[in-house]
Amino acid sequence: MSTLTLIICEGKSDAEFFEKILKEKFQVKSKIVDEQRKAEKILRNPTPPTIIFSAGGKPRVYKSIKNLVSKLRSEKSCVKIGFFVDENREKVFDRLVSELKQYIQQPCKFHPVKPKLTTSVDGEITVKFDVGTTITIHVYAIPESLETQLKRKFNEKIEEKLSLTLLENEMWFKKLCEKILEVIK
Amino acid sequence: MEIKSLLIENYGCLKNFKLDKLKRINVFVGRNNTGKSSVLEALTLAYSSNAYYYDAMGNDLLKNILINRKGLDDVRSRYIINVDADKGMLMVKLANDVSFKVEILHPKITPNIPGEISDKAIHIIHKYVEQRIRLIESIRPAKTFDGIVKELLGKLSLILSRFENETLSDVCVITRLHGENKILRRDKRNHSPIIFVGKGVDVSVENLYASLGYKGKLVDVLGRFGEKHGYVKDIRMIEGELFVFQHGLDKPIPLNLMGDGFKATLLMDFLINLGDEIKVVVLEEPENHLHPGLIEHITHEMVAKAKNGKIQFFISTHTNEFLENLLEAEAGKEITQIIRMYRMPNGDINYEVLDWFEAREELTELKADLRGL
Repeated sequence: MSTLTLIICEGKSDAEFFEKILKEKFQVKSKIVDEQRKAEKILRNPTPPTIIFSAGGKPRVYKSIKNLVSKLRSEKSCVKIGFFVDENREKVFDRLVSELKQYIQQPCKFHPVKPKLTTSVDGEITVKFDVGTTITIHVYAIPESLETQLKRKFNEKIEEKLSLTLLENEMWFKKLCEKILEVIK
Repeated sequence: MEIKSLLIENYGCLKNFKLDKLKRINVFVGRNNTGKSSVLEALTLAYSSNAYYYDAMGNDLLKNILINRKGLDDVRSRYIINVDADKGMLMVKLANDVSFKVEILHPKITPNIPGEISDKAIHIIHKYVEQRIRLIESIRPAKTFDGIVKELLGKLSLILSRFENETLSDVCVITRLHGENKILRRDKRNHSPIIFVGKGVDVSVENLYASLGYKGKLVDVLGRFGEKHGYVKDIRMIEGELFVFQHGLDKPIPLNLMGDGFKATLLMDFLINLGDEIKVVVLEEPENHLHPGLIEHITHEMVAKAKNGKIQFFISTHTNEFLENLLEAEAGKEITQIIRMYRMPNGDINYEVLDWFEAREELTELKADLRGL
């Protein structure tokens, strides 16, 4: 079974950073989009590339993922979503689980059959449709804003040509790459 | 009377489809083959069943929607695709707790038998039907006379059992006599306040024009139409045919020669201004052939008519422009909903309902595609 892969993050610079990691560290081609309808257009392709979607802020990132989970219900492929937000990890995970559960339970959102939502201790949320797709959401929270982390490291404004090798020893970067690998593998 | 809820079983690709809390503007979106047309057809048949399946302009909806597509032989495959089901059920509930229900029965009589035997068998039903009930049924020849009788008795008992609890108008049977499809007991002609504009049904603009004239609304409607379309001076009926008089042209042009967009706009304008004769308007892809300016015009007209409670709309669309214009009108916020339909990998239909606020947020804030993936 084929897999659709989507990375959702908050902002444009985050998206560019993820694109760089995918390209340089994992040799994976990706496409950055800054509007959900553009992501949806790509997802209509039979074999879409990995999409990096910058939702444009924290409130939108939560709204978008609920909307996408709903729209992806009839997909035949498995769906893997990386959900990367600058926030406390538990807060992100709990909020996302709570919002998704609430969304799924709304009587008018999934008719006539609702999907099942399960969670795992290592930050995975699975939304499984009995006769449709299984959407696995890998949640990763960056304790401080990604931009702040990078600024601290380089003590300057983020530049496009930043070298990932300088980040290799950073714990947060290692974990981030592990999480990305879980999404794309 | 406004339709409050809709229940469909085994019609088209819809095995079990239920929509409560219908609003005055209900827009169905989703990929092709997700059941949008089936929902529109089903609610049209159920709503018009009370008037022998004739619409507000006298079009035979049963004939046009259910039968005439490809002949009755196609009915079984097209409408009851769930082979385990031997009947389909369509029901609408109205605001006053009245409900109209239609059952489409398909007895499983298959192989060929001589025509005279099948005719006798059909006569049994026919006689019964004439006395008691109207039926919709596709009768197919069976192997033996005994077989036929058995099948028919089984069917009659089903009808009888329903007859006790339901009104006579609930059930109707189409049968086959001498190789021809016959609808039994549809001698009474009535008009239901519904108009279906979609595949298989041609709504006559001429009839609408005549009705508007009869009601004394024509001058007003044509005046407003002329304001929107500056080049149109007048539209007149000459010997049963409509002609469009245009500024700068000495001779009028027959309406039939005008563009599809022009005709579609005229039809829409006439429809929604007709008044009390029409309570429910069902439209399949009304945006077809229309320039964005005309889409804006008709969506705003729809909202205005729905807002004042005159007309309830059921619409299917594939166009974002239509949805954007519809959701632009603040007046529509309490009366509009979007139903997004999905076909699951096993063929089941799943759907979600978005109210005006959710739909508008999705469109403007999330910048997502309301039509789905």
